[in-house]
Amino acid sequence: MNDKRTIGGTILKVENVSVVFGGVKAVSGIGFEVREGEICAIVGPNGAGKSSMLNVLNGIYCMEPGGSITFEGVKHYKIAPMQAAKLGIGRTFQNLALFKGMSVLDNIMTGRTLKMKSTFIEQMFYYGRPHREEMENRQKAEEIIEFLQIEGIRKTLVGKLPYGLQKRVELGRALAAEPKLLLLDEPMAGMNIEEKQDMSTFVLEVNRELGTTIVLIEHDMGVVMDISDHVVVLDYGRKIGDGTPAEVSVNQEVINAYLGVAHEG
Amino acid sequence: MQNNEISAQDTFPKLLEYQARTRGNKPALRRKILGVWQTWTWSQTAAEVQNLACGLAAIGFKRGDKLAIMGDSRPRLFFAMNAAHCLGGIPVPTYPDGSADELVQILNNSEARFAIVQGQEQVDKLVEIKDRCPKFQEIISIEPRGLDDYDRSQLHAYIDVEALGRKYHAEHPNFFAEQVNQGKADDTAVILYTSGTTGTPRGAMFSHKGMIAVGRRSVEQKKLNADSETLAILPLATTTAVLVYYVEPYLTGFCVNCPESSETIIANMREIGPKYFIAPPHVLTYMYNFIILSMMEAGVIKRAMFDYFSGAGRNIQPLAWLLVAGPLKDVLGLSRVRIALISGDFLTEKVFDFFHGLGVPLRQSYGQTEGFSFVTIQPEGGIKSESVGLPVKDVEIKFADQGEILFRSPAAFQGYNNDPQATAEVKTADGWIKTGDTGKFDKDGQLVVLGRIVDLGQFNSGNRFVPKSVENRLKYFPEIKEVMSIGHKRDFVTAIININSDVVRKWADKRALIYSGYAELAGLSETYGLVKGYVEKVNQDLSRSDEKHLQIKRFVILNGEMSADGGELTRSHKLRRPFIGKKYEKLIDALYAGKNTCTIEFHDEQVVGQRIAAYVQVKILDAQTF
Repeated sequence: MNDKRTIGGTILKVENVSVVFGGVKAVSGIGFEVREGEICAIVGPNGAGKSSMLNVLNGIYCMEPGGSITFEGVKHYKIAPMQAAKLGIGRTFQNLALFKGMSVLDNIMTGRTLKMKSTFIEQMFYYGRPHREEMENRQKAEEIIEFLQIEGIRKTLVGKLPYGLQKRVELGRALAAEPKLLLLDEPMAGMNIEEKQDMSTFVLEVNRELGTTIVLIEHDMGVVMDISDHVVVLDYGRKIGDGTPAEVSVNQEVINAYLGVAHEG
Repeated sequence: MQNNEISAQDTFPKLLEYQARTRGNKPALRRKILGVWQTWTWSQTAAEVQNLACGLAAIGFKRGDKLAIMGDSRPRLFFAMNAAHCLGGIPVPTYPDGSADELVQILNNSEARFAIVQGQEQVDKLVEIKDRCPKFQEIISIEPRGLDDYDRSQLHAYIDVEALGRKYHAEHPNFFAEQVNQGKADDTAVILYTSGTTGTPRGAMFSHKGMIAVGRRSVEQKKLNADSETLAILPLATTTAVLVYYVEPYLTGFCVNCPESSETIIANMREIGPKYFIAPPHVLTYMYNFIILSMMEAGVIKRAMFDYFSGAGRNIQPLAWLLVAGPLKDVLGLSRVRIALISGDFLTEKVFDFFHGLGVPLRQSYGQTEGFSFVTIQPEGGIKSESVGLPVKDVEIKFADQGEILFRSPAAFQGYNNDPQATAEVKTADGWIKTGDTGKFDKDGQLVVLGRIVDLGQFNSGNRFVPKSVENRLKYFPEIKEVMSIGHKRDFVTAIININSDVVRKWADKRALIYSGYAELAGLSETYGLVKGYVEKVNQDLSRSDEKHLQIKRFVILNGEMSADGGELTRSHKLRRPFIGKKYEKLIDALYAGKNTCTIEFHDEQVVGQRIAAYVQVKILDAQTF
């Protein structure tokens, strides 16, 4: 695929962020930057603080005083989940967080919640604004369904779908909010090769076609090296590497911590 | 004065003009876009065709040019068929998922300069092979998504071509009408490539006149009218699809509905409720399995009702209809079906009986590319599962050596494109066409097809080996998807079996068996036990018939699915026996050498362009014979 994106200025700047659970320092003093339009991968062994980092970014965890997150030029010392969503930060979860008893379409429609302005009373009568909104949002949801090629399961209950497809639906729901920054927590975990290929293609397409900036956590180094523009490596809550995939893969500290110690001969 | 009757319209552009004039506001095509069915009326269709035709002319399409068409059924691809006709060009529909080599052969043989395709997937493929096709130039993609990643100098989005067409028409207002009027009934109207269970694809050419003649005959025999709505399930690259979705609607004015994708066929069937239903065996089997799988998950009462009433076979009791057949037909979208036809290969008896049990009047037919689809069709009063019907009007059938079926039809093909030698091999001087199939007439005069001549073999003992006979018996069981039997120049029959993973998976889950993927599921000793039971049941049946020598002595369950991409099946889902014989040579040797296991090597090229070889050990089992 030819790359015709324009990677812009910094969209997200993380400075000195720490997360503490009781006595455990999950993330300590991390800082990195994500430029607009790029795919940034956060890698590291289990317990390195990757998911905690994402949780800080969309406001699920609170960071310790002293840290800050600058999103689109505005500095935040504290972000609430709702605020993150309003800012345009969307995410998917490591262990799926879909509504299993609802259809694929309904799940994706829930991603549009923030775009619906009509009140409860208006909704009850379903006339005028709610009707119009439903049409607009359904249109958007259908565009996402087409984009992710899940027309065949539009009306299927999510709980009945195989894992790989559920992951895709979750991506769809995150996309429904039209985020500027998309956080993907292990989008390819537990998938077979074919599902991984599909998912990588979709992640790339979201980035290339929709122009969404993506921060993802991934264990499969092959995938990371293939699709990301920028890699941040964490270990025990510290940042030990930051750069292009090529730079990171020759960084000795990273090799020792994560890729395994290189043997000679 | 111009004759305005439909019978006077002798080319497809003129027929379209007639339909647009007489039934302009009636639906011609529908497709579900973003979850909502969109309709194109006949007059909208005519306008779209005019824009596209002018647009094609603007980018250099000349009379006699070939336009390759690649994709699932989409209204815009149907417009493209007619647009090419308007300009005196020849559409060449091809399979959207054909391999690169097939495509190169087709593009080079047809000398196509233009292609109109569904989307990025086909664009990718064409861009990749462009260097190997010296004549091939311009690509038009109907989905604009993803095109920006390519060099756009010879790649156009459909909407851009359409806009060019509007401009071109404004500048040359008489151009379109002049082009349409230049069209002659004897012009070649389409080139269709045979799927080819052996060898290279050959392009059969048909004229407007021939296609319209077959269409008129077919409309009359099937009693089609403007209400005979249909769902376009078959791939556009087959004669049957061109006949049913293009020729017949142009003659009668019925609406063709395009499914969203191949995975949504059942949902789309239900939404549309077609009256004219034509499907290949694998789609019918898929629908059957869908019901069987749903039934496995259903509650006790539903399942008991289903088992009880579907056992009743073709005798439809009112209660069965009310409780089982009616609702099932509704779920499958078959409630309104008046004409139902099976196209392509044989349908197994169990699926055939299932649909008849529901009261769907599914009829067998026999078609040949060279005869432009149907050669025989079962009459309404003569439906049975083992034969394929009476010759259609004006078609004669006779048998040559080895029982080879020959037919003669006034509307048969004009010959193979750029291949007079192949034409001479197939078509005799007095117009008989060799089918390569062997058959006979049954006592009612219906044709019975026994199989491909090249597939028939002989045992060392001299007995005749009819592979289809064994295979169809085994495919009776829903757990078994595909079977290839071997016996030619051997002492006994062995079989290579493919399980139906959907059904077996459900079965295995119920028994809490542990497996991680298709290969492991296929290799489970429990799966082997299940299949062995079926093989022995078939053997027992065979031992009571006059085909005793066809009993299966040994069998193996393959660790991967046979597919068209893997080369084991044709695009129309028929076995490619010589290919399989070669690919699994080692396995077949092991079957006859009495070994209990065999290590086979397989390549998975889908993994990001890398060629990874893997070795897997498969088990071979002996089955009891009787």
